[in-house]
Amino acid sequence: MQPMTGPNGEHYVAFKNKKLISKERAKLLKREKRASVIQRDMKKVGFSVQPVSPVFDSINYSVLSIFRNQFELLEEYQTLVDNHKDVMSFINANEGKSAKELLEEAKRLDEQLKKQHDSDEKYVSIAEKMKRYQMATGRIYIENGRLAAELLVQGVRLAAVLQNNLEEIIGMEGFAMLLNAHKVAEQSQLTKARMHMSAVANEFIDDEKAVIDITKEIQKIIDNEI
Amino acid sequence: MIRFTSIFAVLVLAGCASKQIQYPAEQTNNAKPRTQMSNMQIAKSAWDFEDKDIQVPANFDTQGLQHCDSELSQLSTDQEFEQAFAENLEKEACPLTKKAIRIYFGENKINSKTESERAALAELNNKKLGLMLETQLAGVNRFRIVTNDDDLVNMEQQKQLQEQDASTVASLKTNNKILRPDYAVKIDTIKSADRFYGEYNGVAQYYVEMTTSVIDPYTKEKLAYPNIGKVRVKATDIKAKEELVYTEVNGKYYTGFDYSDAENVQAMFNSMASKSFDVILARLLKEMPASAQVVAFKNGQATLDRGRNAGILNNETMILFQYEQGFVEPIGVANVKPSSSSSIAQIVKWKNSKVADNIKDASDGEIYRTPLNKRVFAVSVGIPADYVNNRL
Repeated sequence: MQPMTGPNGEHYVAFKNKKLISKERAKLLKREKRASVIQRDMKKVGFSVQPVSPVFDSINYSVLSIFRNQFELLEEYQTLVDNHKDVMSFINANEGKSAKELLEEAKRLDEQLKKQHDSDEKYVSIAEKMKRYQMATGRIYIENGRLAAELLVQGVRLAAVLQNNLEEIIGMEGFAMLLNAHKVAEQSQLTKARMHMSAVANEFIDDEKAVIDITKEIQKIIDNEI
Repeated sequence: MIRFTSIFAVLVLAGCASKQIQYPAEQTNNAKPRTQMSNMQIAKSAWDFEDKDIQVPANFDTQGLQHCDSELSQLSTDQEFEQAFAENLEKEACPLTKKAIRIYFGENKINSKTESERAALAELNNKKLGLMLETQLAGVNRFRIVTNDDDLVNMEQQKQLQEQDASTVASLKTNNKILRPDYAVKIDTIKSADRFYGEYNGVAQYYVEMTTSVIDPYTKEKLAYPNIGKVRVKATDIKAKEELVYTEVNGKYYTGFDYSDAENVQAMFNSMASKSFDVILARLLKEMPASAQVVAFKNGQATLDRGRNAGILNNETMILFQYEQGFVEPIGVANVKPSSSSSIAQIVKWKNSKVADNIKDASDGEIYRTPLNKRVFAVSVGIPADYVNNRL
């Protein structure tokens, strides 16, 4: 979908009478804001599908699956990034300890750190962080599993291509023509909007993943080069 | 074919007409500035020398050595000898004249974001470091050190005043003058503390950079010699990296190297400074090698006219060379053991040369002295491994 320029010079993507955030603008926002705006706009697009025809529907359902998957994962990846450093540090420092011992150590450390905590923000215990991290990892696993299952159910190979090459497919003229060929304007508009927002969300998730990847790269430098 | 021939002819003609191409001279290479850490250059043991290694090192100073020893040979008793030597050392022309210096430490320049580390750096005891360097430098006898340890000096004088009778102390005070420093030696340091966190642990990176300058306080001139250059030491030169790794949880120190403990950080910087001194010392000994004159040869041994008084250290590796009208002819490498004002050199390897062979043959079984215009000198090659192992 082509971004348009509004009266105030802002870029947006038109969807019915609503405005969705464009990729370029999403990138300029700060992390927290970016996530909340993406979620808000995804909700604007919604999660319903109007059945049209079996072949066309399968494409629409596949796109919806991806859309929902990205929507669900947005927060989970944020949680991962927020807690990755602390959780990994704690676990690595206590390598070889059993789950029970880890929990005991976490309790001891939390008591100690709570005393030192002096900023206005609420102290988030390491035990809590580990719980959140674990839950996020679990949900990502489940969500990705569900997506795979749904795509399998749709039986559309295209969806697998979509999942891996979302970016390229969106840019493909042929795909747009395929959608237009059926002349089901509303549903095709909806699917296009979902693909757009999926791409915006996907970029956010990629950036979040990159943060973790970068810390892993830095760790390599620390391990090998210093 | 005709075309080729004509092209060839044109080329030949062109070749005749033009002069030889002049390329611009290239005398430099481009390189990035170095940020490597400084290492110590330690003298090889005399036994490890090969024939090609037996060459006269840089900075040997034979010019004017005769000013130091002109009257020495006529003196009979040891006491006279030493007294004359001490006086002679004061002669300006003698290159062995030791300059008196006082050491100053520049202020603590601090580059660090963290409170604990900044505090540790600010607390770094410059005075202690300065005294440490004084002691190390005094031991190698290249300079005469005027100490900054006023507390100790005052305390000792007080004690002597209590223990001795007043007249002794009074006469000591009038007869002794405090040594006047010829130069001020200033040590400037930059210390930086930096931490680097990865996925699950980080490493504390500390750096010390030191420069040494020799300043004439009356002319304000910074002297070019000795040129110690810049010394860089980083934390991993002192401790294994594993010991500098730490983990943080919730933004606070958790395990590993405790950077939040100011004393811990300070200890690191103290040992880094001390390491820098070692490098400074090694460079100084390379820059100002100990030299002495060979008195005589006999059976692979040589006697030198100077010892600890000229800064010759135990098991010093020295190159012997014959000096004539500015030309030097290396003749061998020796392991030298000093006494207070003379040394004995064990010649480990003779240079494969005619001059060396002649001296070797002449000294076989009897004492051999080289003629006056072909005197043999010995010059040290750097800080001896023995010193590094047992004194640093």
